[in-house]
Amino acid sequence: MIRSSTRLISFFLVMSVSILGMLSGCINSDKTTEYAENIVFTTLDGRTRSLADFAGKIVVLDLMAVNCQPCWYQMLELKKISENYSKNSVVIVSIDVWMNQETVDMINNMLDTFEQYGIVLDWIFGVDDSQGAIRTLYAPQGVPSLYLLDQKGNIYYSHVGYESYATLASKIDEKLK
Amino acid sequence: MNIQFEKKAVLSGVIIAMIAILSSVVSAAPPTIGEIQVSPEAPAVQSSVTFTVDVTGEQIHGVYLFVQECNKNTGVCYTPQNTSMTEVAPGTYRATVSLTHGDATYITYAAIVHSEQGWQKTSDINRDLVPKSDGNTPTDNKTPAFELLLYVGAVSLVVLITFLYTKRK
Repeated sequence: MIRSSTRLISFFLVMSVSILGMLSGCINSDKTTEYAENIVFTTLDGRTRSLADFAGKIVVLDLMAVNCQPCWYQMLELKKISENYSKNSVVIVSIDVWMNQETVDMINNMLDTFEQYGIVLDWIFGVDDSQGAIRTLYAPQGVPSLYLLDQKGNIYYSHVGYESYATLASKIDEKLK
Repeated sequence: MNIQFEKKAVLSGVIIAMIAILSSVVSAAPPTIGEIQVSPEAPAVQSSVTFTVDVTGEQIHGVYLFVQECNKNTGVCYTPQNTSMTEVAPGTYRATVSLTHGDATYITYAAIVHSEQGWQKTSDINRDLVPKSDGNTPTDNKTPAFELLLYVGAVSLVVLITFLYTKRK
């Protein structure tokens, strides 16, 4: 009798632990599995970020490089987005995808140069890994490569090369309606 | 006597220190990078381009060339090529780069020098590329084109008709 009750208790214990484990797994992965393009990158101060962090907002993903003149012109268009849209609804993320030959210092120098002209690029900047994992998947054709991701992380617009503010804004507005 | 000796010692010390500072300043001068020569001067799309640059200075560890192909119309730039330049004569460095992108309209290039004083990069220079000829442009008349075949066909037809006409008579 005692042996069977012990067995029953251990069975329930094992089951409860398993169910709890499964549930906790679901809770942890909930955010990332729901977010379609969960791109992970490193910020200029070395923190790991994920696009899933911006779930619920439209993400303007700008895959760029410092040694790319059109990318600098693109910054001016992105600046207009930064000025005209609330950060609660639209997030801009610029990721340098040529990190096999560029450095964080180079990005900071670029930001400083813009600042000298009174243009503060006040959005998130990050870097790809040195192997170019993001570049391989999302910018194989060159830079800048631009993506618009909806609130659930689905890419609904992409463009290779410089893109005007007007086009980007109209695409953003489509999703904000 | 001792005071004079001390004065001399101090003076010579100061002179030695000044020479040392001066020589260190001289040796710390960064290398001078000359103008980058491009050959051909008007490079074509998807061609080989040779870059030559003169670098003067001491303790140069390496000279590198940065070349990037871009398209002015689409505003896109392709992954740049970083090539090590070879010293072909004392102080003269050269590298040949193959341009690979068919839709590129210009290149951006710069020389990067690694010396004892660190890294030094020239400013980026842009140069337009000559578009690739498709064989039908008016300037390309070196090879027979499709028009020649039409001409030969037309002449043959005239000869055949004339031959048949004279034979029937």
